[in-house]
Amino acid sequence: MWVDAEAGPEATLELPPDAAYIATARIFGSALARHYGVPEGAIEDLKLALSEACAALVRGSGERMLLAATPLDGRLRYRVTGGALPGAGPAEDDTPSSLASVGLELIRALFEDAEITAGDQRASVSFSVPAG
Amino acid sequence: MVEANLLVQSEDRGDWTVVEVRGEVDLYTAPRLKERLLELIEGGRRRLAVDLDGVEFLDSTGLGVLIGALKRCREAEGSLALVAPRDPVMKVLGITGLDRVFPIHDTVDRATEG
Repeated sequence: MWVDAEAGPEATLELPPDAAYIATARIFGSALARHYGVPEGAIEDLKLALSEACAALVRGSGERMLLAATPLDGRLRYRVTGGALPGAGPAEDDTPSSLASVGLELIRALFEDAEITAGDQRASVSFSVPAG
Repeated sequence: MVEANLLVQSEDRGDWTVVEVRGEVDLYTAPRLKERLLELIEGGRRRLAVDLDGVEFLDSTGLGVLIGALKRCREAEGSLALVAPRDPVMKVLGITGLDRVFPIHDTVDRATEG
């Protein structure tokens, strides 16, 4: 496996595509953030982003989700990958695709460096927070 | 199966029903909140004060449930107010612009006045 020479050790967690495990994703993300000295305000933001990313992936596919966190250049970068993201739905309704769309927009609003890729085979959401 | 970290209980105060929510509202737990709010509205309660003081986390699924309940209350000429959302919840309401859609109060007493 190729590893960036500047990156610290990557931590990963694989979860079933089940809404019951979204809280586990938040716990994983916040525990690592505290380990790396991420400010509390940013921890609340990353919990929301991880939750929205996982919710979108649970709605979009039946494939397992992989969460990864990597320290790099004074930041902690999170990446969530899974099968697929649901397509954008009509605004102002509560269909799964519309709610997923709102969730992904929240991630973009919270993190300037958010990258959301909705490939045919593999979707991913990534963003980073400052580490202490 | 993972146990859901959400508690919803309600109490009538005159025309108002105070819905106390505690825990985390996400894709997994939001159906429980939705079910309770719809039960109340379909049972004739039209003025709901949703106390969010005990809510540690709320995502877009939770927002969707609250919006849906607000819409139903308004269709029945009622209202749905939010009470004491914590900072992270208030931030989500602000980003989405929903802080201008919901009446938001500091206390249950203020929400249920009038």
